[in-house]
Amino acid sequence: MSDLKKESQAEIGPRNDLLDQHLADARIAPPLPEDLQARILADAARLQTNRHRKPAARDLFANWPSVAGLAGGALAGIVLGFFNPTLVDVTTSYDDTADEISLLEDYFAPANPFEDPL
Amino acid sequence: MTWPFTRRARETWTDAELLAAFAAGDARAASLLTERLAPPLLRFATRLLSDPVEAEDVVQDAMIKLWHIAPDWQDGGAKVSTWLYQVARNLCIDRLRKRRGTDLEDADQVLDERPSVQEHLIEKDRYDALQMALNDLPARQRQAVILRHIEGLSNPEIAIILEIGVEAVESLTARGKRNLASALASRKGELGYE
Repeated sequence: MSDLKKESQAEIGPRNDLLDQHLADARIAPPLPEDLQARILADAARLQTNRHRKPAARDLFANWPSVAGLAGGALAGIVLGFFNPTLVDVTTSYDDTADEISLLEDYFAPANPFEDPL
Repeated sequence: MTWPFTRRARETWTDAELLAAFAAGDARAASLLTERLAPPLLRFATRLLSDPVEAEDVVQDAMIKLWHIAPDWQDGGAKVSTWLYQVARNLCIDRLRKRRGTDLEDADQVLDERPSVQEHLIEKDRYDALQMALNDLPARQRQAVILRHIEGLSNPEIAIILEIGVEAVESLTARGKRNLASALASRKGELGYE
């Protein structure tokens, strides 16, 4: 007697041949309908094909706008960081009307308006 | 594990190994997994839904989910078959919920007119009698009895599928079987068991 049958009898107490026979009959697995098997395998093949196909050229360049943006930003950073600093004007006048001020010369050699030139 | 292997070699593989082979591109692994897992799944879904055509759709949907999860499957956890029963159960519950509110008499009529898969194997009266008795059980009792006494799963496996404790499974199967026995007892002669 199988373990399952012993357990079944232990669960319901007295022997129950009818129910055991019913359940034994019900354990026979039906054959898989051919069309269902075909559908299942078609799904599997489709997923497998999609998963393993080589990426097409259009997929490789699909993200070109973001890549181009990043590359452009990096190039601009390099130019600003390492090339000619004269691009930055450090002698800009305060109000755009006065003379330009040189911090070094004007501090150490200030002009004296009361000094007699003679 | 490398492939290709012969079909005979693959037949000794576990479900998890076959699933890994499928994920690696082995098409024959899908065929073997289908042969192994789909028939019991169809029997289970048919018992839960009482509708062979809907049960076929459930099996197809469950197998699609299996193909999808194949690359991420972690061997060492739940068995593939247990996971698949759980998916099929949830799909059946969804369909039963949607069906609620439809005319049950019409549904029975459709079932009667449709050739049943099981009719090829067991006598229709006995099949129907057990199905009717199962249908009268509360949902969880029905699921537990089918998984334990028809699908032959262990109580810990059923606990995973039903998402309850093992003790609760034992209680459900015991009560379910008692109820089945009393429902079928009066039909013993009618079903040709005397």
